[in-house]
Amino acid sequence: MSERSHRSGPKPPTSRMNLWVLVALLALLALTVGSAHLELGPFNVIVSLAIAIAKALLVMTFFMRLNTDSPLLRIVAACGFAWLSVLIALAIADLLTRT
Amino acid sequence: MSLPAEQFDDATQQREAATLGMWSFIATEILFFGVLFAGYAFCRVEFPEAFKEGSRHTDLLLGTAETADLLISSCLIAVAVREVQLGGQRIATWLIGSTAALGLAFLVMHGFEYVSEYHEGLMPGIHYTQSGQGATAMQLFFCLYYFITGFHSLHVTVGVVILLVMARRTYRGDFDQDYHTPLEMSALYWHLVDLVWIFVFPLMYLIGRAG
Amino acid sequence: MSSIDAGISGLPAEKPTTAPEGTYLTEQPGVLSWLTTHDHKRIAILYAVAITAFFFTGGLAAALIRLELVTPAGDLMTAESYNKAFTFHGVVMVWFFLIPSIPTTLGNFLLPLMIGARDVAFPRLNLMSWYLYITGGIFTIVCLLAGGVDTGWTFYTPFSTMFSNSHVILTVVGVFIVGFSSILTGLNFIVTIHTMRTRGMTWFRLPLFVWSMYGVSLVMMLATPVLAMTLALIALERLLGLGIFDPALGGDPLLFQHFFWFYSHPAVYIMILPAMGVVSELITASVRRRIFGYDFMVYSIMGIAVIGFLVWGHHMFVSGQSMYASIVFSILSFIVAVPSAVKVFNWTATLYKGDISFGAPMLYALGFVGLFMLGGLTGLFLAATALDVNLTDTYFVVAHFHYIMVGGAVMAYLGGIHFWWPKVTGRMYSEGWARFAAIIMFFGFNLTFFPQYLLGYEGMPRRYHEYPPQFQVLNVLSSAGSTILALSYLLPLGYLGWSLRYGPRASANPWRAQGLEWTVPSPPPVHNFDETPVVTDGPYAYEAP
Repeated sequence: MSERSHRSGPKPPTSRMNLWVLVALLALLALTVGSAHLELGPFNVIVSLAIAIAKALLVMTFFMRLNTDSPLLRIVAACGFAWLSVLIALAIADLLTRT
Repeated sequence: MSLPAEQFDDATQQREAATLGMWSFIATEILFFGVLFAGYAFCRVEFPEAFKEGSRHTDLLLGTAETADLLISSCLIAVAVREVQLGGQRIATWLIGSTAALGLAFLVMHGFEYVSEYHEGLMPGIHYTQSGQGATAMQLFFCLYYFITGFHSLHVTVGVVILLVMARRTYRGDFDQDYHTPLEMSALYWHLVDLVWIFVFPLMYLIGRAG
Repeated sequence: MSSIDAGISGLPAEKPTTAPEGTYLTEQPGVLSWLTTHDHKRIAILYAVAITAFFFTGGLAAALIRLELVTPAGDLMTAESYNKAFTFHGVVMVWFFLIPSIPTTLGNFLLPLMIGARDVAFPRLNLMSWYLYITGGIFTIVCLLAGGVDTGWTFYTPFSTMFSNSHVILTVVGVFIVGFSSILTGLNFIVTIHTMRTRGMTWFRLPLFVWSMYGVSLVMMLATPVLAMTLALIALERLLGLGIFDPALGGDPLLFQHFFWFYSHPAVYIMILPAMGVVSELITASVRRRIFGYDFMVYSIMGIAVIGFLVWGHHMFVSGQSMYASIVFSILSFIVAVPSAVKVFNWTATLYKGDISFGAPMLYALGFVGLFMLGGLTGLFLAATALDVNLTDTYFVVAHFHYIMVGGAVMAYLGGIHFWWPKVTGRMYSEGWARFAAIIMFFGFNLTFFPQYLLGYEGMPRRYHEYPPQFQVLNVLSSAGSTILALSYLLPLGYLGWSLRYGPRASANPWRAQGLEWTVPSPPPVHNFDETPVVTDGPYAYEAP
């Protein structure tokens, strides 16, 4: 298939790339379900969160095209997560340090 | 449909504005759902055992299927946008329609979950028949479970409607290589729905499964 | 050509006598065209009318409160009614007046003009924001008519979720809806400022009012969604009996407070940042100089916006929050005062060797600087945990926030209304009446609220409809002041309304001020600029005196 023109917006990922991302996502899904059945103690949470973050980054970078679009958009996305982290962090910090 | 709206100088500025606007909206949704995640974190730190017990009562099979469903749908809509961006129309219409169909399938699966949870007496305030030591605190888990999945399902429903509208517009040829901003923005919204679920799934369905 | 100095206090430089043709006011007549408009200028007027109406309803509630407090006994209202009065006052003033006021009126009108654009990025969304505001307002009024809500504007659990017998859900839904109005306005402004600045209008050539709109929009977008979900949780807990704040289930009422104040503290910066932006414009025009330290004014706006998110726990010092968390929040609360102080210093330094004229806008601006400073300094008292333990929930807090909100934000809003009145309406107002109103407002305000610092220091708690007799003298002074304050708010309604019909017509730039908005006719045409402007200078490019 010849190179078709993509006149507006940045160049989209190829269909193949999209499919590889999906494969990776489904693999991570299998991994997270599998690891949940292992007795890892406190690491269960860490592993499942890490996998979730990896999946989220894949979706944002490739499906939502954050890597090819304007850098400002990456900052916007980061701000959303950053502000949420502040809420969670300070609220939990209060809970954990109560005497 | 190639003329930019009156307030914009050109189509590039219009797309830039629309994309920034949609991502800003996505950031607000992260914070909107984030409150529920914060509540979850807070309550789970206080009642870790009750949360594990609650999670064991969720339907792992359906939950996994729902996650796979949304991941696949995300891929489909991403390819659909690519198709339109490169001048396609027919394949794109099918892809958008399929994404919507997967969204509906998600809602159906989730509906089954709710029904069986009701029958098991796992709905605090409505029909809660659990007993035992952690049963009271487990209600916190289930409150959060219904809140998060409920708001999420609402967003999925809105997403399905939007996608059906987009499918129709694509079929009618409203979009072309230069202008398909509404479709792009709808796709971003759908990816957001997927993103939220990516975090909901492990936190709700996958704790306490070991051993 | 007249060589009379046309500063703020003087006469207009030109006196056009005919009405300009084809302005945004006259093109497309009829109520329906106003209700379906996409024009940011018309939307600003729509908001201004609604906001003024809410201001006076909230003010009526305040009048009832001050009337009750003239005597120590609770003789005007029952305790429940009093609770409903101060709740209504808070809800209306915070969400239906202060938060929208400057951004949706002056912001909507001026933002595209100041950056050389034809409109905001999403004009239809802008109109939808107004309809959301009105819908939220209707819910609140319906709630009032149905009997009101008595939880305080802060809706603390478990009272709001479990024990209050008033219309909590109605109010909470109203505020939820108006919250989305806020979010969409913020979204519109951020995208507009990022993508629609005219050629040559780089970030550091923006007027400070535009920077303040940017800062406030950031805060609106990041904070309000948290409020929205928190209110939804209250409603769900109340409606369905299931929720995460219920202690019987193991829930924590403090969790509610964390969520609520995560929004509500930044909310106060939503209220003050636009006011600061307005004041920068008023002072530079009245002094005919560049602002002192423009870059630091910008950093301060952004600093306030960001650090403002890190201090919310200072509302929870006595609630059971961990002592260590309180220490952290206390330190951060001291730090957040620094950028505000920088701004106060810079406004003052701008006056040095300036060509100062004392028109009504300048009087309001100077009033702002003084009163905001007093209010801000008392915030430091409250930021100190040891002092706060004694001052919290007393009238000291009430005085503190009224100094900032009323002495600060409302005065800046009024100053802005006066300054841009010629541009928006095409008419000049009566300078004599305006100065008179500004001056008695300053005195009325101080008489109302300074005694409240003393009352709080002496221990009078807030939100009580009766009090021990030793507090009466100060309460009477406060209530007396409030009548003067009320008068000073009614006066502008009078003379500004009068000017709409009988005021002399305004030229494009009656104050000879710098800024793109002054380069278009008064009132502007629908499309703003006949030719897209190109900017080559920074803001406030006044010649050296």
